[in-house]
Amino acid sequence: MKKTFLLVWILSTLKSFSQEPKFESLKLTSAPAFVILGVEPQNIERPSTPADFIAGLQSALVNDKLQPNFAIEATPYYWKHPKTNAGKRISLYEFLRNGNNVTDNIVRTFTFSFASSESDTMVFGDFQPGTGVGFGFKCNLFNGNVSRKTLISSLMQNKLLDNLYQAMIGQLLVGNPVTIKNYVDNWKVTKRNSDPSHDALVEYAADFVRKELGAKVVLTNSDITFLRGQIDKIEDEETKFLTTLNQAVFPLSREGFMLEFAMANAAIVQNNEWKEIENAKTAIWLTPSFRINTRKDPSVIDFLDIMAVWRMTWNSSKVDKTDYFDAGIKFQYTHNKVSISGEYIARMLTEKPATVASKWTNKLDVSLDYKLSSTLTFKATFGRNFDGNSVHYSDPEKMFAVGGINFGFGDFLKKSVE
Amino acid sequence: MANPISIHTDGPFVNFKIPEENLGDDILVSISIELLDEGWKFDSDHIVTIQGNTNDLYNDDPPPDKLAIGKAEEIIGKNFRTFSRIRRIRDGAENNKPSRVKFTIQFFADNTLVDEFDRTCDNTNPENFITNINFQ
Repeated sequence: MKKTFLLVWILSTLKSFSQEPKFESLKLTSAPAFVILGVEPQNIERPSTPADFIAGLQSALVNDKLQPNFAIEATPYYWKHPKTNAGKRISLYEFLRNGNNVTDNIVRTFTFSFASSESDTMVFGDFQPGTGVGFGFKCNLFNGNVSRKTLISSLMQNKLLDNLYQAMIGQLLVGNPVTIKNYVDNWKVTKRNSDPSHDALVEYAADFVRKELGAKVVLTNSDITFLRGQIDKIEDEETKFLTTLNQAVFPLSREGFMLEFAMANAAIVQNNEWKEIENAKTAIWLTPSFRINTRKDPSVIDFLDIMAVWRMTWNSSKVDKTDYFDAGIKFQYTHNKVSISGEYIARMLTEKPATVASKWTNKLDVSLDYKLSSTLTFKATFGRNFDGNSVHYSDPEKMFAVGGINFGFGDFLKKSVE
Repeated sequence: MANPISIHTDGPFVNFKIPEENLGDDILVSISIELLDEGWKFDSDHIVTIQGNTNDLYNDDPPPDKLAIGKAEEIIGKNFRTFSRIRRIRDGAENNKPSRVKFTIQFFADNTLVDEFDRTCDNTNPENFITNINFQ
């Protein structure tokens, strides 16, 4: 155990040199591979924008003991479209486009995960104790909206206008003649893509600049002063947009409706012998969520998240004689580094064994998270768990209380490509 | 040679001597952007222009990476300009003072680095980095 924590401390230290702070990206508890192992204190996590690669140790209650469990999560989209310069370059256009085109969202957010944990004898029924290994994937079907869409659209429009004027000045300064119609037509070809809303902005910028240049056919060096005047106006406006945008700590955060689909499979390496590995269970689930930005002061992080889950779990007969259908709801309020949440999940046994009193059981908990740094989160959860399973029936009124530190690391493994 | 990078507005065209031994090589240019303070992201525009070509060599958001400018002996005497505009967007920084930006431009003859220059700007947001060169 000491070695594990020493390793985590070293990795966390390394990471602090290489990664920018993030609000919520280093939570692995929503990784399907982790969820399927059934050891996390809370069951519902808000869908989030995927990270290209994260790894971490998460505290979880295993066999009534709090233990660190390992998980990794990776997003293949970023293998071909790397978040360059350690993830610091973004595209305003991508942020506007990355909305609710379901196919686009699936491609961009498809994330797979792997996790391992000491197997929980309650969760895994009649299997021999050993190591649980989970493998899963998830993707966002709906991705929410950028919170400051109007402001970012205005910035995008200014960016295109500035680009066209600056490109014309560049041609003039190096000594090339600029025939306005030809140049603007070529510029449009460079800037257009297949997105109608973006192409409309490109057309707008081209038309605007043509009108501003009046009846001129060719630009000469004597027009540079006029072009610079136009650029100054655009750049002054852009400075104001950026100043307003940057009042918020995370101006590009997404809010509104998000919907995540996930699937995962768990196997048990009984007695920690690979030859004794057996499939344990498979699950699919949908997690809808809605985020309301409750802040009045943009410098304060203030979110209310309302989440739900519908999950179907097919169990091996050694885990349980029945399959499960879960339906749950969770409310979470986040204020800067603190978040408080409460969740209720009802579980229905699809085939009630005669030995079990009811086909319904439930889980109720409240949790407090405190973000110590971008890599460390303290989490304490208090509540009542499911009644075990229909093989091992536990006391439904038994309470649990867990607290621990979750570590996220892994970005230091990425290659900086800019 | 003097640093050909100017911040915000254009500076004079600075002579850039291509080594004799590289006159038969292709000249390439790369630009890199580094944010020096944590908690910021950036959006960028990069335009690359050379005398004698009325189409831009490059006009896109990602910085050019080993972009071919032309054969060394064919670009001698020509003016060359790069324009980069960097917009910083806050991503968790404790205050809204934008990150400083380090701009680096590198010139290669085929795959050999010939020269590189850099400039760092303050927290003015957005900011332009302009490189003006006359190849010799």
